Amino acid sequence: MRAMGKHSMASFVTVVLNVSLGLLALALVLTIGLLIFSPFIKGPIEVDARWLVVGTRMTIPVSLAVDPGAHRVAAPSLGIQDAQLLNLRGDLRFPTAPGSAFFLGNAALLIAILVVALVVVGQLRAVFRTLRDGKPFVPANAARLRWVASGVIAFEIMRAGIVYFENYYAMTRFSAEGLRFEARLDLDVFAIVLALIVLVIAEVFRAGTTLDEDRSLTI
Amino acid sequence: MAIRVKLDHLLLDRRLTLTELAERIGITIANLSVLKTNKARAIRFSTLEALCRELNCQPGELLEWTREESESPT
Repeated sequence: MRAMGKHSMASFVTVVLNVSLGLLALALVLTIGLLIFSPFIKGPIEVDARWLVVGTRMTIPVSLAVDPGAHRVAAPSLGIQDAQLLNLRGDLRFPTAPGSAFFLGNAALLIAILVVALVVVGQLRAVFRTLRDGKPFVPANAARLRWVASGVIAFEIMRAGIVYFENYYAMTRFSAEGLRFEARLDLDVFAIVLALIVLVIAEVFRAGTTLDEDRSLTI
Repeated sequence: MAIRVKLDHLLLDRRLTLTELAERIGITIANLSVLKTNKARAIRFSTLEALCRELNCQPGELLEWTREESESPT
């Protein structure tokens, strides 16, 4: 399969990004609608703080520590009697009132994340369209790649902030037998390093675009 | 750009059209037009040689340096 041009990998990715952009836009419209109309809704609503799900309850990410006394982990066939479960993460689902401050805060944060995701996917789609058309060395692509990298960094910081906030919320309000809710920072350093690499690639792209322009204007 | 290509003057003197010159030196009209309108970033020696040969002139007759307004005399 070719990398660039029509019926290539780039054109396939462009289609995937078109669909993603549509889904993100739909999610944004739904979340904004939910935020606006939530005071008028009677009964529980479900909002997944990470991935939008509208239903009957609220789901938030949590970090857990297990009380070894309450939950023994062993492997008798291996002769292991005192294994430990560490760094547990999961989702906590609970009923919530649509007009509560926690619900509204989550919906607002979700909107911010969706806007950043829309910007990133939109810029990425524009880059892949130029690849599909076989003309990647356009000056706008360097700026687009910088937007993608900055967006990924912003997205990751916001996501980590929200997860920490949700962890803290669960830690201060919920309890479970044999488990301890904890607030942990879940920053994906790998995603940030990848974004920094994209920033460097954007600079290489900018230099490449200048060279291509020089070449095309050398008679 | 401070370097100007005086192609229009030479074409007029030699009673040649852009199309004829393009055919003679073997480059496209679009590229020659870029050169004529001073949008070119650089010129190859081979192009310069072909232009001088067909227009029967020296490189100095083809190119002209003018001081830009932003440049101050040293």
